Amino acid sequence: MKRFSKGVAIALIIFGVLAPFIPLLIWSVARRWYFPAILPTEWSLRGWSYAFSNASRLPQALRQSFAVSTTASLLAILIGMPAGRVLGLYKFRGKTLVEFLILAPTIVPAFAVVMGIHVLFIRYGLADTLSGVIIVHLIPTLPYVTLVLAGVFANYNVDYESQARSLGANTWQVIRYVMLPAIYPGVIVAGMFAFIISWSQYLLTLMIGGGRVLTLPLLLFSFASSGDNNVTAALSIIFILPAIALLVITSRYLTGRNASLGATRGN
Amino acid sequence: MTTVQLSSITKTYQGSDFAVRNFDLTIPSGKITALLGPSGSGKSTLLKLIAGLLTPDSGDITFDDVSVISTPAESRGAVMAFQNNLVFPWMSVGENVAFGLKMRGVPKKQRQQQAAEMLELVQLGGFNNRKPTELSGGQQQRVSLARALVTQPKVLLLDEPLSNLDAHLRDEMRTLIQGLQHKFEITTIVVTHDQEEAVILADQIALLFDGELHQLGQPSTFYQQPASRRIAEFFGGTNFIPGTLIGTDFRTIYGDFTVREPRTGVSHFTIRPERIQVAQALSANCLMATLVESTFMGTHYRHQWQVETLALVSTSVAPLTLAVGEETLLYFPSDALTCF
Repeated sequence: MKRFSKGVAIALIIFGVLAPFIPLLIWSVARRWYFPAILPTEWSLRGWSYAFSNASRLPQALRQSFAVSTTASLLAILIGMPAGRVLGLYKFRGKTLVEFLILAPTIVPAFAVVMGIHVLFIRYGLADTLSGVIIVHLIPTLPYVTLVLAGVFANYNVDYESQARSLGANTWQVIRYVMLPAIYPGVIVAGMFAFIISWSQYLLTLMIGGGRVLTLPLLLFSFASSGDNNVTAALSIIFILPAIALLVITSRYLTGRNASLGATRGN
Repeated sequence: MTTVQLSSITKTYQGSDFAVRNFDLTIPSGKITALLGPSGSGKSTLLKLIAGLLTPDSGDITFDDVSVISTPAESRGAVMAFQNNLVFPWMSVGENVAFGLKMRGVPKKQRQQQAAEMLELVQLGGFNNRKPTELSGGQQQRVSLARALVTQPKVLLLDEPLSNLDAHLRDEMRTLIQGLQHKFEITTIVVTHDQEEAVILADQIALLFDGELHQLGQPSTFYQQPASRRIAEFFGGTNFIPGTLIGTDFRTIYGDFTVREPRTGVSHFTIRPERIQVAQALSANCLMATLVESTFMGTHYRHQWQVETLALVSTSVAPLTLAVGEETLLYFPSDALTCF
């Protein structure tokens, strides 16, 4: 009975993950698909050929999306690791307040934040630049990275570091040979979260990038708002692929409950 | 060969009882010294202070008369092996043992060879490529020991090295530690809360209560001449007889006893259970006692006696020819009596 219900659960999860892709796949190769037809009445590869043509600016969008998301996730890990370490390992006065403040960007609408920040970015010449977009992507990614790493550090035995120091390791060697190897599965998970969050940012990129920085979501939205379902569907599939690939690559670092959490993020 | 000296070391923690105040201790070169005490006695604090993992509030620590107080842990040459082994699970056994050498920039080939030799010495030859998770607790403990020894430390610091082992492995590990310590002549400091562990391992024991040194000496003195009732109790003493000492004559309400030497300010004497004998004939230092219970303990018999309101415990290798409830004369040899 238990095995049966487990099988059903897995089947449901797979269906839940795959089902939204079916209409997307059909749309990307449909020419005429009107109600009440269940399947398109005419088929065409126009969506795909347009997506891969020079006119679509897909290569530029892919390149900039990768540049922004990779750099933003690395920066988020770099900044979030010390913060997560302090939150995970130490008790201090006002810890709950600090945790709340770190979480705040996930609750406050990005639009409200970015309106204020935009002025500053213009003043410092960061508006309309790739660096500016990367920095603004830290707003939604840092809270997740910090909290994931805080959880990782909460289960980390710091005595390993004392042991390494006693054996002759200096501070950098302790970080390089003890801390990083001990926590790297958690770092990978945090990095994956950051990448996927950054990968799907639309509003922040639009506001700070000012249209100069073209990431995949921006390209996708421009086609979606123009009502071209074929190209939109093709681009959506291209948009989703890196997230799925990342999930598959990092899935062995995710366990149990976390794995399903990662899956819903991937969509 | 390094003599370690602690001079008026003070280390306190905010909002905690764990503290060491004005602590002085000399740890002789090339010997095993045990820092023994119940939890909260400050022994682990002292070990971390010597290792350089903690900094004292005041006082000085010297290795061969050279202050090491400002030397960081990684270059102090005092290597600590933690209680729960802390073998790095993300490295192979060989990499674990070679860790300290790698940190010192020893070339790969050389450090692998040294690690293999050291593993041989702890009877784990050929375990280089094993994962730590494949090892038993005792094997991990030996990896931890090899990892510390391979760096040729001036001072070896062991935190409860036998406490997680069962009786059989305990004996094996003790022999191993003593053998290696003797071979390398490393000044070794062992921290333990277990008096048996201290007694079987150490050449010298420093007994700590509440961050203070209460008695320092060879293991046998803690049995033969405990300095206080608390120390005697810590070492399993149960017989405490109240009275007053006049000269070498200890007067109690049960009778008078002759002790070795006159001392002042004493109110009790004690005797180890194994030193109480059934008297052959009435003589000095004798007491009439009733047998309450006699229990076979495997290697010896343990007898409980009652003298009026006083309970006494004695042990003997052979069973008594006495039934429970019968009375007999017990003899207390004067060289076995300690007053405090």
